[in-house]
Amino acid sequence: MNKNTNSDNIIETIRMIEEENLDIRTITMGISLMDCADSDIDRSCEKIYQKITTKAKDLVKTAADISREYGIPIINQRITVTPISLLVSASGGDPVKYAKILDKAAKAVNASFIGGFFAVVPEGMTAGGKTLI
Amino acid sequence: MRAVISVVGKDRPGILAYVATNCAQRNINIVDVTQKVLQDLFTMIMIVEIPEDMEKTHQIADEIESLGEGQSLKIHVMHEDIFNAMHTI
Repeated sequence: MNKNTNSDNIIETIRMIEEENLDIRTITMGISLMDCADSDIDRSCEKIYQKITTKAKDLVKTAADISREYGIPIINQRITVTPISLLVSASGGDPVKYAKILDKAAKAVNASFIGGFFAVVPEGMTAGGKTLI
Repeated sequence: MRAVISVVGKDRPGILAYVATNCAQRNINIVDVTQKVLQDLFTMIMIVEIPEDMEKTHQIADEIESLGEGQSLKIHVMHEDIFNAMHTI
């Protein structure tokens, strides 16, 4: 038994998990949607749905496996994507379509949250950013 | 994987034997054992080697944890790394 796995440390860790609800709040998977940009918004949405549901299909299961292996709860599984304003800049159209498809994709893979429906504007607003905001 | 099995419960004869027998039946090698009895509370910590195979490892861990049910024992099986991570900067 090395110095880190002495019994006091072990009991302390177990107590933190059991009594003080120590957990891993969220694990996040980042997915780039840059290759889903398309001049046609519907095609772009379709590509987004395909990419997220393919890349993140094992997200929840992997989180459960990690949680089981280490014996520590993982509460949320989150996906973050490329700022949608960039895709709006390429496609134009109604950004709400992107919001809906992101929601749908997140539901399909059972993710707790999906983030990325925002615009990056510190260096100035693009037309896409403005539309989204 | 190298795991830590912790057992907490009311002290009585045979707890160590009960857990160790169940480990042996599942081909789990016990590397180290430490136990303490504080007043009536029995605490045991086992460092064990569980045969590698993700799916099977999880199943074995679940089985070992469920051994405590009905025996008024609380049993946890956790990867050893979590303790190293918790107590090392």
